[in-house]
Amino acid sequence: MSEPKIDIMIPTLNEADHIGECVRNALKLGPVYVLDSFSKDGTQQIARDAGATVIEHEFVNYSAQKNWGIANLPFEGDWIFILDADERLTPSLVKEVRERLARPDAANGYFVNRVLLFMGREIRHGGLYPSWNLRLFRRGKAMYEDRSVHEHMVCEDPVDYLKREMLHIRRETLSQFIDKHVRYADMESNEWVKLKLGVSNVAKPKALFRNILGVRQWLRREIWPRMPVRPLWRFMHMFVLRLGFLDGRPGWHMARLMMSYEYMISLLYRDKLVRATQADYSTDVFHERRNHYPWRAQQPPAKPDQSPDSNAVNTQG
Amino acid sequence: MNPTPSMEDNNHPRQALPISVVILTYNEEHNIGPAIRSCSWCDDVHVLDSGSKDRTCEIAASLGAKVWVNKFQSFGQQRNWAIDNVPCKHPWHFHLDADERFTNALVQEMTDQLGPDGTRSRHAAYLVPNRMIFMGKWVRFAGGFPAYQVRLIRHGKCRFVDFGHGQREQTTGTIGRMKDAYIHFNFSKGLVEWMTKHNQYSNREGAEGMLIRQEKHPIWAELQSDDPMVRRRAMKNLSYFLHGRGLLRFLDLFFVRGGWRDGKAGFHYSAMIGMYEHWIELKIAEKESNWRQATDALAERLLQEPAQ
Repeated sequence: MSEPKIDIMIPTLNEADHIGECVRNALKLGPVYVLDSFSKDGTQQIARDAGATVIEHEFVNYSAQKNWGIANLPFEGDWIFILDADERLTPSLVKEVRERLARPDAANGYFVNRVLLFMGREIRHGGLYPSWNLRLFRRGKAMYEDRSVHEHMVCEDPVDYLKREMLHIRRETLSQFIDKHVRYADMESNEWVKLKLGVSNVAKPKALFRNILGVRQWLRREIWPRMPVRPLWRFMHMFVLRLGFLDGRPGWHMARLMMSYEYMISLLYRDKLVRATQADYSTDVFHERRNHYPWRAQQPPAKPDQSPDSNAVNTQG
Repeated sequence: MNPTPSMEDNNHPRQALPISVVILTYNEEHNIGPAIRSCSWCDDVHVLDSGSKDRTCEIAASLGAKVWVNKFQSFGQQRNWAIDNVPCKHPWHFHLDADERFTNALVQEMTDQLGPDGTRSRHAAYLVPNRMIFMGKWVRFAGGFPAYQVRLIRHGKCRFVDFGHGQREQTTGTIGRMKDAYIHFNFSKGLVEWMTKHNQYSNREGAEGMLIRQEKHPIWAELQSDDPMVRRRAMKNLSYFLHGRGLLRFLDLFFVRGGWRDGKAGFHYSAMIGMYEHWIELKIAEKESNWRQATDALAERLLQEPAQ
């Protein structure tokens, strides 16, 4: 069996801090394509200098961006590995991937585990580990479902799990971390409002129930948003039930930050729901503002542009 | 006082008051319309813009306000510029912000206090309370009502100086107090904006807190000082040494100041401020124990382990 050809796709936006190291690390597995959303911090140049092919494409949401990349980047191999800029492949993982894909009974997609490094410690409890994501798949066999954040892949059977892990480096400052989670909370709360107002586009539960991850997703999306005192549950779950306290001080801080994050989602959800639904909301300022929330428009979601020579694309490298 | 303020009834007195309204704006296209409409009792509304990139000026002009533009340096400077350069018709100026609205009660009270030609009052300026609106409710206790600010000033008798995030008044005359409040939509631009902004504030506070912790101020001595400003400063410095800052702040707002009386909105407001204080504490910890360096060192070690 010949050596499997794997292309690596790294979606980025303003990742100058990570991208150089990440590309050099990923080149050990195969050619690297950086799918950039018009970064303003020089990510493109750093990636090119490190040896990657850079393609820029306008960002709509994570799943649309990655689906566009899967369909349109000039991949040459049979396999695609999707890596985030803050993730690194360990030597053991690279070796395992090569061995597994070379076998004749290789699966169509592989879940990869990752371990979070935070405050100088490997976080192995608190429900943050193991963290399985389908990142490695045969070209043409998998797509992301349409959801603006925390999206999941839908892949043709069979799928399998890799033994070795990649590293997820939390290098950003707390300020950047909070900013990012404010953005996530913004998007997540939009999804909840859509769910509440019945205009959601997420995959049907039937497709999600195929495996245990599907059940977890269903719990997370349908049941979890309806739980009372959710932020406190999140903390208890992470720190006590999932033994987050075994990670010491980083575990404690992580649990509290995640509690804040849950709380931000709740706050934004309540606030948006009040603004979107309550007609007599004290003053007309809210009536004007309502037009600025995406679900008011209720238009069908834009399909990712499938044509490889679209004007929006700027191929370089 | 009416707990749920309404802007719908516009039966303001027909007769013009001796007050000109000045509204400072920057990118306020969603707020400026309702703000100007709440000034329907006033025949002299000025908008002082700091170079908005949206439709603020256009909307303001279409609603009959006079629009002026001056580059923003600070709130104090901008307000003084308005006092000096905006040709207000009346002897009294009211400085409204774009996310604030007049209430009928306040307009009525101003009418009574100032008289038809503005000579009835002997004060140079007035402190005006405001009602903070959060999640559609007035958060009275957690929001620290009345939270007076000098907003109504007599032309030529009062100026502003910069202070903290905002400004302070500077006058030789006396300052009166209004009983009725204007409405303040602190969250009119949404909570995402609030969170992003407070993330930045907590960076600043955290850096300041770290300095205080290193400098070893004589806090105990300062706490016994006669000057209330020094005492207050010392209390703040002391707070940087406390653990559980966020929780303490929440308990303070929710129980001590009575945030529970504001219902759900009071709870959420207290908790949000608690979250902000928690961020400050974490940012001090982050800087003091070099989280990033430790993480990078660990990653490097793991990536150099031989493949198994």
